Amino acid sequence: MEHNTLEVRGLTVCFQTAKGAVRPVDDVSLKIPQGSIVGVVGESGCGKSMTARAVMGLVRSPGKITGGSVTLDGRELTSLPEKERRKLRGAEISMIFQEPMSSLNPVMKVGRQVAEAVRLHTGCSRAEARAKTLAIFREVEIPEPEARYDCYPHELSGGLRQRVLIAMAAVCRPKLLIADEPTTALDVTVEAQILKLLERLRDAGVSVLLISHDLGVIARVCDYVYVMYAGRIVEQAGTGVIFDRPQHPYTRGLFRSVASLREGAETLETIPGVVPNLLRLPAGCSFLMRCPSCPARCENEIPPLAETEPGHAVRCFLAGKEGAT
Amino acid sequence: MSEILLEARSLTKQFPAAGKKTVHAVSGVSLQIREGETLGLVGESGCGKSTLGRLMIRTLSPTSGEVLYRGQSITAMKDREFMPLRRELQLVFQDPYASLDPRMTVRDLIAEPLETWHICESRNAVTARVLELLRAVGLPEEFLRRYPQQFSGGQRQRIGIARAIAADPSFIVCDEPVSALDVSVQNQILNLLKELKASRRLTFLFISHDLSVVRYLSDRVCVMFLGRICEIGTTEEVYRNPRHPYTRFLLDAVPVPDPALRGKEIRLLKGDPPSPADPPSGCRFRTRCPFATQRCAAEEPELREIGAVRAACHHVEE
Ligand SMILES: Nc1ncnc2c1ncn2[C@@H]1O[C@H](COP(=O)(O)OP(=O)(O)OP(=O)(O)O)[C@@H](O)[C@H]1O
Ligand code: SF4
Ligand code: SF4
Ligand SMILES: [Mg+2]
Repeated sequence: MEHNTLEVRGLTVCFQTAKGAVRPVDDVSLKIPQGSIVGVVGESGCGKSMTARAVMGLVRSPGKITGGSVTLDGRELTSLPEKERRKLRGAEISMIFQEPMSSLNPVMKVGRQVAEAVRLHTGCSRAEARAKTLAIFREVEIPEPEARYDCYPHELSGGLRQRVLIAMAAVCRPKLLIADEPTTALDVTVEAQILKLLERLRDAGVSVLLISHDLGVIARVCDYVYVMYAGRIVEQAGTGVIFDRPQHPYTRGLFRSVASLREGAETLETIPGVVPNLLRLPAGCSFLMRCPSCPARCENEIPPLAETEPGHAVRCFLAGKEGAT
Repeated sequence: MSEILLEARSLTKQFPAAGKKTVHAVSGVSLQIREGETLGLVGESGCGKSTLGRLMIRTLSPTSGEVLYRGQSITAMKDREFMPLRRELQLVFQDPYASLDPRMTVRDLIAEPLETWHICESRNAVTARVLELLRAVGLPEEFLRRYPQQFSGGQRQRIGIARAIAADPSFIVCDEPVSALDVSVQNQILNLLKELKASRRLTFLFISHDLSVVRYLSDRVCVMFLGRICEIGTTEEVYRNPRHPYTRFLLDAVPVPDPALRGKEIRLLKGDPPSPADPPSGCRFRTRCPFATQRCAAEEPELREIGAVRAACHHVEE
């Protein structure tokens, strides 16, 4: 039977702002089967990163998890005291970000940063930590690991920095790796290497949550994809299925936008309008204002995430119906 | 063929680096940009794209070499002499979040270049022109009194573009103008740039690491590696038949949004780009190039005609 490393059910994050409450993550459910790469794709502000932060237990005040559950190998995380959570981070769940520089200490040699993380989580000796660090540097293909060990972050290229972060994230063999736009700041030739690295970690049994806005990246490495819009999951399916027959008008718009650019269309496809302000979401479907085909019903009722075929669910009243665009 | 608007002649820019090293950001780059054309500039981060862009509009001065604007060297000019040309040469930044002063209203942001160059007679004329610019970049009038943080990335980038075109420049460097944006929004901006290019006869240096984005807008493309040009030619030629080994790897590595192609083994380029503070001898690509020979270490390849493009490689033929 398939074992889910991570299960998120009905996760909701709420922010009290001066102008009212917003829910950047609204009733999000997702799961990551062990040893798979699951993608979350969507526009900026759709709540991808916030979902990741909530899973990590890193939602900062005034934000709060107001509902739902997050379980890692069956263990509930949302109710864990912060001290316990901190122990988990880096050991069982690790995270890498788009901009490696922001998660590295600029005045500490990178080798030492990784080694300290190892010591923190395993309590091993300095010498052991150094050996482990060098081993993981080799594993993530950092050339000349001994020399790089003593480099400061600014002395490394973006690709090398991201490798250092991946090394730091992977060194304790976490169950779950959350990668938030890990290659967005990198060059394609380096991106290709980093994606390969993620696949290798997956093959070694690590479950990966990959957040990306890049459908090319999603297509290349993900096994399953969730599409988020304005805080909600609007579509989910296996990668092959979602690329073959996207159902939600938003997903379709997104895929068409990418395709038209690739094909060099005279005028590029776009999704008209902008992402709605979370403070002023429509009562019904949040894609309403941009949707080319919305029946009256969509204005007052939030469409449910409903299965259209096994493993494929869509949050749209027209999904699976004839004439949906 | 139209007039050459801008020309780089053996442009070199070095920056001092830690440990008495020198960063070779741009090394002996020569190229020409014709009026009305869009030249795309691609290459990996740190290869010198932004430096080259800034050298072209003299927001940075070269270590050696020169830039000619309509045949006149702007490098040699005194600041005072250059002043009137400043408004001809504009820049659109990558980061629409950081590049707009959050304390200024949209009106004031777009009015700033108009006021700097005394383009309008009166305050009312300025506002009228700002409204016109808002329309040109596809923003509604009611944005006038708002502040940038109330806008999405795409909207901010439109404001950035409005600012860049406000003074009616002839040349705009777009430095990764859409890389902070989502695809659907990115496409809106690309459509806008394409439209402005046609309607205002603008000349662009379009910098992007995204090869499909560059392909869409550019008439010609220039591929850079570690401060040098590897290949330059018409967009069609370079994409259809890349000659330089680096260009080929680059085009190969782009992740294709088609899971059916997943099984296809992509040829991975070895290693990272070398440090521009310590470039390899000879061909700067040689430490990553699978075709490198001794000659590549000893001798720097010059750009030469290969078929319909120009490429700098010892071992590539027609
Ligand atoms: N401190 C805060 N107060 C209020 N709203 C916030 C706060 N932090 C984040 N948000 C909102 O939460 C929403 C989701 O943010 P999040 O960063 O998770 O989105 P994202 O999809 O990952 O975006 P990007 O791809 O740009 O990082 C956004 O609308 C954002 O404005
Ligand atoms: S529910 Fe209605 S508004 Fe929402 S995407 Fe479907 S058709 Fe469009
Ligand atoms: S000159 Fe040599 S090292 Fe450089 S690209 Fe050509 S074959 Fe490769
Ligand atoms: Mg994000």
